[in-house]
Amino acid sequence: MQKKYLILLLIPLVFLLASVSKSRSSEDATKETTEKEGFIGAETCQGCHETQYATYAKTIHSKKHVKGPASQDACETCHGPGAKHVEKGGGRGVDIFAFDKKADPRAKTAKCLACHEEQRQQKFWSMSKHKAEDVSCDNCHSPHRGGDKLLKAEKSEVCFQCHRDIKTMVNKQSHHPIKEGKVSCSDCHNPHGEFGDKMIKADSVNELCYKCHADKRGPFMWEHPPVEENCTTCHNPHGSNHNRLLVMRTPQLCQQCHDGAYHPGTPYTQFSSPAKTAFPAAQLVGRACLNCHNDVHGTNGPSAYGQRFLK
Amino acid sequence: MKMKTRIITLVAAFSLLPFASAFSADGDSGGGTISGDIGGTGWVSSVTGNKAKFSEYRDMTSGGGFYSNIRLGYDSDTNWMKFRTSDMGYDTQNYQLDGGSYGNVKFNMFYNEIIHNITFDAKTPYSSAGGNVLTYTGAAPSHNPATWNSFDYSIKRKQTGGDIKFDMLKPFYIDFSATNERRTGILPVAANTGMTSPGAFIELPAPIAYTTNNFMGEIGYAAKPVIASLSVLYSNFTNDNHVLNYESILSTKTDTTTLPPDNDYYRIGFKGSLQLPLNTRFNVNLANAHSESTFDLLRSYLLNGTTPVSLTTSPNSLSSSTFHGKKDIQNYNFVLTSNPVSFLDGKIFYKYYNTTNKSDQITAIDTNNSTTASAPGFLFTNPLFDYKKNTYGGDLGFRLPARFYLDIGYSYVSTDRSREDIPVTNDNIYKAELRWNGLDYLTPKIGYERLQRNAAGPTAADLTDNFGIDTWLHRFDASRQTRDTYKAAVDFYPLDKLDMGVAYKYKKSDYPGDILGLQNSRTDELDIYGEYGIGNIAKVNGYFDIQNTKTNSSFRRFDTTNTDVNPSDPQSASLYNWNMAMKDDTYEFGAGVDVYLVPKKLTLRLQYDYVNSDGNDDLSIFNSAALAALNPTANNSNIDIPSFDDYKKSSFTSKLSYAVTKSIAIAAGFSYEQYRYSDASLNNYKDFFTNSAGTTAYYLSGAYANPSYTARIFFLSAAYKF
Repeated sequence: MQKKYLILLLIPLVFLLASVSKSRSSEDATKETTEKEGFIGAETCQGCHETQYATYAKTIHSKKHVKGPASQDACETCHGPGAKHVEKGGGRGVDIFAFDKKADPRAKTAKCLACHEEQRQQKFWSMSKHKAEDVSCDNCHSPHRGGDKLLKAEKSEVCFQCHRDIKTMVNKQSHHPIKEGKVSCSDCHNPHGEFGDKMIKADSVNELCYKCHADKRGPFMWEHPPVEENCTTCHNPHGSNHNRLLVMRTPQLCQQCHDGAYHPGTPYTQFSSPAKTAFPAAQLVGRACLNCHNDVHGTNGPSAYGQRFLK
Repeated sequence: MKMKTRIITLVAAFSLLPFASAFSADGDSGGGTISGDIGGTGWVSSVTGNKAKFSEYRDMTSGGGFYSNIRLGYDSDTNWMKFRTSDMGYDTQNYQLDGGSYGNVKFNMFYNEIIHNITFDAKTPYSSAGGNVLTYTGAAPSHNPATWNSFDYSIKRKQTGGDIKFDMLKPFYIDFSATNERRTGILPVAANTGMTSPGAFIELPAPIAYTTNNFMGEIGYAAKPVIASLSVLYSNFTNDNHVLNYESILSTKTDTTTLPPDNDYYRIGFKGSLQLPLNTRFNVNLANAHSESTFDLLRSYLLNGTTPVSLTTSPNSLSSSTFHGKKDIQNYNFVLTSNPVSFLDGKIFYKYYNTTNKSDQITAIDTNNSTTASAPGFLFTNPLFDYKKNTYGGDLGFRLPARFYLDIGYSYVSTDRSREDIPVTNDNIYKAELRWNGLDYLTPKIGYERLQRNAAGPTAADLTDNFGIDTWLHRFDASRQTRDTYKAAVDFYPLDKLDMGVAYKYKKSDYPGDILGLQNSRTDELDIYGEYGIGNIAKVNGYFDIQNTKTNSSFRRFDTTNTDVNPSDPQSASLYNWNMAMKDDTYEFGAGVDVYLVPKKLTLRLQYDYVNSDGNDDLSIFNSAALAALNPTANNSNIDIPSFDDYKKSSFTSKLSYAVTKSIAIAAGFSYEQYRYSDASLNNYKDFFTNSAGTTAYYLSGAYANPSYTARIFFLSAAYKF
């Protein structure tokens, strides 16, 4: 087990190997920006926009060895040629492309896709719900911010800026550790576009859930068909008022489908609760139906016990 | 000891970084820089009440501690490496090491721990909670919980993994990733003793000792006009315990319950995107997956907790002693997106998703089953469930004059199931959304979606089970349904530093095919937020959200003596109709302010958040004799359950931060959390109780009980940045 961690010692070696490998020559790729019409060069921009340049210089966009124009034309790669902007004495959006709220989101995204369209992360942007909703890259990322993936906020907080209803669910008492920073929206969803419904990173909801909850994958001898079809029939992965992310309390959740002789079709009232009687209904207290029918996700139990998810 | 080794190894690994950077700097035109920050937060907390709920996902209880975090980075024009760690030595610790050569290769390695505490000091009459053999002392488990053994319901996850991405052969790329998760702890499971309703039961501490390994490889090509990739995924799950043995509470004989089986999952997939003329893209996703499991079936069990049954001794038999689970999945997506002219966006799509269940069908002849006393040789054969979905549809988006945008869409989903109750459902989904960007400071939008679900079946031959209740009751996940969803939202941003928004969503579902079961549900959601930066003085934020859900359901109570399940037929004390109207109302609000007492030097942050949930169950029983049988004083006003998962959580944080220099920052603060919970199933919790005749015993263990708590936390932090 400990040997596995010794592999970590190899990391600096990997790094060394990578660092001595020939990188792309910056000389081959660099073209003096000032030679292009209307381009003024980053030094001129820096004269007025010192803070913005300083933050840009710390990000991957300033790396000369990265293929693409971002590092070659610097500020003007994204903001466009600055000569007219300078001639007119500057000013926000004056003859320069500004990534502000008023700008056309498609135009802003196009600036980014000019370089990023061929990257594997963005390959299905054309299918993205975010594209259809005119969400632009700068809604979530800022080239001047730095940080992980140049995100404007930490992990899921970026998503919550718009998806406030999801944030409300995450704040409920039963939730994945999203606000605790251990699970993020992008663990399940690809904000840049995917084939799955809701841009999930799997071919179906269940295949997504099984990535972490492989114990539920089976295949089992005795299966509960709604469970096999869609976990979200009973669970809300974003958060719930009910334990185990259930969409409704048990036993009521089970009763929505199961009305049968004796206890499945019996009303469990205040008079059945531990607060009202010393002999509460076994189907209401604690985990309710799950007090007996423990294996609702499927089981290999024997005979009738297995068939009824009891063992 | 293992943890120490990991930490030391990581630190040792990183200690080599300066040498690496120095070496690489020789080859750089501009050299490299090393930066980072080292910080720590000391805390003292006082927690009263349920410490497990307070520390559900954190390693913090009453007392004190010290969280440390380190971030080190090396960056040059060609290479970078970053090391991050947080909460070292705690159950939430995290270590990340990533780096690479810009444009050529990048890698990431991590070790991460997640704790999920559920209940501390749970109780069981069994010894050795956490093991796979549970025994108690004496001839029967003690009825006195004070004499039971205590343990914690808690799960710890230790995740190790990494990935490496090669880009040096652009436009080709290669990715590999591998992860290992070890999950250990104890979760509640149940042991039911009888087939009569309900048998005695006991809540058991089940051992969780899972290992999941995932390996993935992808090779791709990305250059206009083609992006394509081929990926392979293998996932392996192993459980150290396939069964849990325990002494029956009705005898001292050993009974057994099954636990999740080992399984494997394989997937091979192709994804591609082809740029076509007229700003059109054709996207495709083709995947085949296979999952399988193997399980040695129980050859004996305890009937009703007392009588040993052998399933391999005549007259009982098992057709096979091993179950092989096998499922194949095919998924094919085809999506064509187009933006042929500036005012039109289009998308058409088709998805085929098919599961084929090739698992063993096991036949068990079990003459001992109490429900078949009159029919010896009761035959059990597991049915094989699988399903197929065909989905197709399209979206059209129109950029209209005056900066309106109209998006309309339609999709059709056909599902075929090997299930007798509802073999076929067909969904027609229509949607429309109108958005307006006519003003630079305001974006309103409205939307509507309708789901029309038709369901075929069941057939008359299928209506014999359970006295034919399926005539009136179907499973709501597949039953006939109409669902209307209305949405409206306005985002308002009149100033550069002022953002406000209001959103409302209304969703109503009706199940017209069902006389019994879920009849309808309705959800109302309202979200209001605002954020304002007041120059260099302060930044304030506030929000208010509501999520309310109502459901109405109808039921018929019957038994094996009173079998007329037709809800239109006469009722009696044992055969009656009843309704349930459940409400689940949640609201939350919060407000916060960052006051820049001395800009860029001294900041005071205050934040208050409150969440309130109110759930209740309004019950109506439509037969007076049934009400009287329930309780002599019962009526339709006092049988309701007023509290289902009611809770209130308020939290307040104050923090004063001071930037001593550009490199040194300190902060001090205080947090307060109060959580109050009330629930009819868990209030007045009893670890042991019986039925009114005293003939059937029930043993609980405390899982999820009494989660209320109050916590006060003082903290002091310092950080050094270089």
